[in-house]
Amino acid sequence: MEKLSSVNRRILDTIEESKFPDDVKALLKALLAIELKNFGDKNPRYGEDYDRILKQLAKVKGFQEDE
Amino acid sequence: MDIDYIRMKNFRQYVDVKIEFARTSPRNFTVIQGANGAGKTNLLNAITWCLFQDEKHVDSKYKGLPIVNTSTLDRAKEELIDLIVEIQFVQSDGKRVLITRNLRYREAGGKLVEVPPSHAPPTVMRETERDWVGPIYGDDAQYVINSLLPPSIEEYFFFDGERMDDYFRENTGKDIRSAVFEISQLELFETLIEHLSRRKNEFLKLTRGLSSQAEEMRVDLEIQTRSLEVDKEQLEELSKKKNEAELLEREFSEKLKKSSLEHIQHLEEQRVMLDSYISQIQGNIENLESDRLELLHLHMPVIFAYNPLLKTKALIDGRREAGLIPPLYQAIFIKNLLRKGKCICGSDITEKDEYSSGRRKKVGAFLEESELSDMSTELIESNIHIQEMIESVVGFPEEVVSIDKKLKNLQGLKDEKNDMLKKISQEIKQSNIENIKSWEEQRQKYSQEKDQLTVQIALRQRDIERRGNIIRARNSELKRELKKESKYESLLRLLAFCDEGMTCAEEVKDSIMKKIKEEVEERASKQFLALIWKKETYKGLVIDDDYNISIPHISGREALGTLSAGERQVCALSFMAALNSVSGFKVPIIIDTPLGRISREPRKNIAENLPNYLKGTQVALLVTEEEYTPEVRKALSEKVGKTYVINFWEKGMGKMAEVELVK
Repeated sequence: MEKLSSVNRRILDTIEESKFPDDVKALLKALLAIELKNFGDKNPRYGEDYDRILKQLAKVKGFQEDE
Repeated sequence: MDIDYIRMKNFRQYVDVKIEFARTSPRNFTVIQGANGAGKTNLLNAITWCLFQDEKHVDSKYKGLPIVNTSTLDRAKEELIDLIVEIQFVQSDGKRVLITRNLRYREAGGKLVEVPPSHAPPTVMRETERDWVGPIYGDDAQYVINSLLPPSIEEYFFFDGERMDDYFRENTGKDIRSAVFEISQLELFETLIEHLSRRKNEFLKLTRGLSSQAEEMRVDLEIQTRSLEVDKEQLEELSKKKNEAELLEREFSEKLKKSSLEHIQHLEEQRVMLDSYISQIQGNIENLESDRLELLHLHMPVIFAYNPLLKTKALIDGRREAGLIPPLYQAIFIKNLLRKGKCICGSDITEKDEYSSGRRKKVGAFLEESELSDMSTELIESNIHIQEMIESVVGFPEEVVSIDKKLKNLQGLKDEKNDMLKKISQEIKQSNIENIKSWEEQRQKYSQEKDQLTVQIALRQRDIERRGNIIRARNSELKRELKKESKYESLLRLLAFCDEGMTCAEEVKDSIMKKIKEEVEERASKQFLALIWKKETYKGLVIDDDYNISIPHISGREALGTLSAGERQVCALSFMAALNSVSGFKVPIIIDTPLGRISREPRKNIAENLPNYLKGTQVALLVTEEEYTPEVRKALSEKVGKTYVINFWEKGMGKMAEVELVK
């Protein structure tokens, strides 16, 4: 009933057990946290958060992002 | 999260009632007992009305009736009547959330009518570490409520046992599937995938025009650089040969200078002087040619545009002389006059009489003439520049002619000196002394070779300079392209990352959905077989991938359609209990008339087993006396924390009800 403050444990465990690389798992967890934060918001502003996380994790993979 | 209390004021039969719910496990069951028509279902309706402004379980006999208590009609003639439903929840961290929805009524024509606004927006107050926050009103409050409990899944937590057997008739597998999505937070994946897809499209847009040509440029640059190296090597070779030729020329010249014949010595010395003089002349010629080229570069644009410039100037001058430019009045001045309704003389021209009308036309005509005023100003300013340009090339022909004349003179002098050199050479060659003749031939040969090499060196130097410029330009282009290439690479990687994220999200979502379905099926089947009284009749409860439910009979045939109302109720109860426990979504469960259609023995069985399947969950049961038999009471005795009885009576046109705590 309460507004969930964290992503369902089952979801996090399933992501962790999946065959995907660690950075993709980290991406999903971070984006789910954003979606949870925006849950119930009529017009959530997600673009900046998404770009920040994508670029940050892309760098982790060794990508050199040129702004 | 638990319900702490509900307070209803003038909601249907409840004039002023507050019900506190049992919350401490294991005694977290609340039983509210009331006869049929006492107001049990309206208690459920009060909750859904407060949360969603919708009485989701309203009985047909109440449809169309005002939700305000009708016994307040007489009082409404004197004062406004407030209808209030207030629910306080307690979250798992102990923080409280208070949700209130209210309406106001007055009497009009013997009826209770709502006082605007009649849309009854909710208000929400939230408790924080320090204090209460809020109230939050209207749409914002509704968003908070919807985030606490999405309205689409309300029926999985607050349900009417009397109608529960209709559950599998009304709800298709698709609806159940979407409910599982919501209560398991799987809809977060849906929005995540959608948002990730949108970001991917944005990145895709950014790649436009960034596809790299760096590789082609790199190849071209390599070719140019290799060619430059070859040119430089050749230049070095040519310079070396020229030096050798020069040395040999000088060697034979020295031999001639030191020859035994004084006449030859003299001729050779003359030649050296002439050579030096011709070099000086050549230097002067080159300087003049450079000056001429510079002069042409400087004045060529004006020279090419000379005639059009003259024509333009003549046109502008002609208009000025004719008094067409500049205009008498600036357009902005006339526009201001017309806006203020004034004539140029200052008189008012807003009246409808003939004078004002005539003046307005005249001022309007001035405006037409003045429309080009801005352009006129520009034309006048441009004319000054045109004049300056024309004047700048006035002396050009004379300067060019003067340079050409000097060049011609110098060229003539050079030719003359060259002729003298030829004569000297011929004279030396005519010598009777064989050595002298041979030396001169050798000197001449090396001199010619040197001249040819000088030309070749000049050509090679020009090639090197040109190629150097090309390489510099290509390097700059490549630098720019590499910058683009780097951004392009990053974007491509981000796009790939988005794709990987979406694929992973899809797979994880499907995997969870499958696991939840299997667990719900397993638990529901187990519960169904535990609660059902014909244990040997059915194999269990089966859920397909689309959440369609079936009950296979022991004989193998499908039995869902032939279940009795009581059996269907058990089936629905099992399914909902399983769904709630598997979802991990902690919400109190309120069941109206949970055992109404169940016969005596199974009723006891359900009462004994249900708490085990709803372990840890706050439960409220709205029961009739017939349902809440001594056996059921005994079976639930260890779980029930609070028991209420609804007392009701008729008063005038309406019903009244109060709730009494009996335990």
